[in-house]
Amino acid sequence: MIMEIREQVRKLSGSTEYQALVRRRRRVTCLLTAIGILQFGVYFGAIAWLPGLSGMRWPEGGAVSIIVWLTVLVILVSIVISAVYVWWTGRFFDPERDRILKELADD
Amino acid sequence: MIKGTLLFPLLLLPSASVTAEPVAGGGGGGNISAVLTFVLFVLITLCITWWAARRTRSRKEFYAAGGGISAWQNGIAISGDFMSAATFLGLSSLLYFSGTDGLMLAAGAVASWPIILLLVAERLRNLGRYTFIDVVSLRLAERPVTLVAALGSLSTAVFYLISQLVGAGKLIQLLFGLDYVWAVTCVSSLMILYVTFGGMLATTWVQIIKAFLLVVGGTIITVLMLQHFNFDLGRVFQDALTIHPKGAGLMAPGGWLTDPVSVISLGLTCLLGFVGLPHVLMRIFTVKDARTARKSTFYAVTIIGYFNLLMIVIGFGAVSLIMFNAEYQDASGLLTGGRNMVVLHASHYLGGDILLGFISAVAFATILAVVSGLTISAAATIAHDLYAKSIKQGRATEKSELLVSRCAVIVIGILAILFGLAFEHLNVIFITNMALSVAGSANAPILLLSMYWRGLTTRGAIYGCLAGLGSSVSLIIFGPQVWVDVIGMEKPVFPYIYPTVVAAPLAFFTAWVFSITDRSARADKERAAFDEQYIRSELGIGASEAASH
Repeated sequence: MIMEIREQVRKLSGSTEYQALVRRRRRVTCLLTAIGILQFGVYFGAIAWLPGLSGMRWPEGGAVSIIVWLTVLVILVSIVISAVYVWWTGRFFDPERDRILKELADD
Repeated sequence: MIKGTLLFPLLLLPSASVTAEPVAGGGGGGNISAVLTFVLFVLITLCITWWAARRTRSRKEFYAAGGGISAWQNGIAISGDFMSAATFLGLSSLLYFSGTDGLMLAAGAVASWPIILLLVAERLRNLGRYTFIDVVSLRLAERPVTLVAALGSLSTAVFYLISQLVGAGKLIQLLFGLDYVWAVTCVSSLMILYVTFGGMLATTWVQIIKAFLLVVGGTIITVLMLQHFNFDLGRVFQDALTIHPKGAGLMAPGGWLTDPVSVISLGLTCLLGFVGLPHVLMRIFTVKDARTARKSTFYAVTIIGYFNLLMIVIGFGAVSLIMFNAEYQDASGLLTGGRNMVVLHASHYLGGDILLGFISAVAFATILAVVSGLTISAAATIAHDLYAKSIKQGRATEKSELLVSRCAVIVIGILAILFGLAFEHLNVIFITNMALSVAGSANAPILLLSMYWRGLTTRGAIYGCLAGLGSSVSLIIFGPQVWVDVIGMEKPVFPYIYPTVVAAPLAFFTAWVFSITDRSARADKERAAFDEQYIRSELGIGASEAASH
């Protein structure tokens, strides 16, 4: 079993299709991770260094401050990031992965 | 640095701030709907345990429910692990007392999930079998790395378990009128039953039912609350501002953590701490493949996000309903039953004894489900990582490993009761903090490095993990929660509540330094093995297959 896995891995490491697939996924993952970490940084950074600004009411005269809107935004963006990734991998990554693995098994 | 004593209520539950006064409306002690809902929950979950016990014969079934949990089921169970009674009671309480400061926890907890999804979930499923330590030790020297990583994993689980049980004992004493000793014994005994006989399958279903009840309970309170305000969300916040003693300050940060470093450290604790929680990571192995793991993580983040949005409405809305309502104040003008009773009082105000009873029982069920998850995670570390991999070095039979797992559950349960009783009068807030800090400073760094950095060696993993573990625990001891609040010194040696801002970078740095300076032949082999591991983590070649139930 281990030898079989090693053989598959060896074949894959030389496969240009596999390399292209991994590169594509890395691009998507890096982009979405960057957005995720950026929103984390912006959110906690705003509270840490701009408490006055994040405590300002928006819209003016309303009851809710910017930080409340930011919190809701962070929660929604987190869900959207996750949804986009699940959609992309389901739509593009998985079929390609299955095809590559099938070809590998057929070899 | 820190104002007030309300420090990170996540998971700490009532702890020191709860007194054994009766809750308005009779709490659960005299509340027939609470008792009925709880008895029904226990009966259903015991039936499930009986059903699950007949399907739990192998290691894989015990630790990972045979890998046959569906994406939806696992998503709900993960969210259940995450939505502890503390999120339910503690988060609403923090929002009620400190306003927008509580939002940091609501946002931080949800925002860590895309990171878990994007960086951890699939690779973990593709590389591991039952615990995250499987992944960490995959290309490194199994025995020493497992031993050290198990220290981090067990510390996290045990710290969490103690804080949950102490909180549970106090809460149940308050809600159901049960004596503290009986309350802790009752929770631990049920936990032992669920896990020993039903393994991960029973634990998962207990978690699913509890998460469902929790979301339904939260939704009911929110809808009733919005109805109270004629479905005008603006009024919920406006009335809170008018009534709350903090006034406009309720909408501005800075009431709880007042310096930037503490805020950033809290952010890091959320980001890395949740990535390194062993009982949550273990759920990734209960599904058949990485694709299902990915979907289940998405369902989890959606449910957790929805629930935290409800908590925001409940926390602020409760201000208008109960803050100066004599029915919910004790003789000294404080909230009856303690600070974490906000959501229970609000449910009583909105739905009378029936809703209070239901919510009380849901809170109890929540604790029960979370401690069960923690116990199976600790048992897996002891039986699978320590016994089978380290002591027996892979030569343990399935039967003996299962026996050790079940014995571990019983020992953990008994120890939990003893710790629960020993810590009854101690403020256990720091223990909760330790759990999350160790997870973020010891578990998360070595897990991430082992999956993404070719250069990590056994030496780096060991010293990195020890640096994260040692620094996070010692900085908490020298920090305000132990050095000042528990030991009684005047000033803390380390000024911040959350040590992650120091401990996590230290763990990464130590792992890096000890890895790059490792010139041994073993280190070269470990680096060379990274490519194979990386390809396997990408495509799931050789990943363990699922069993169907």
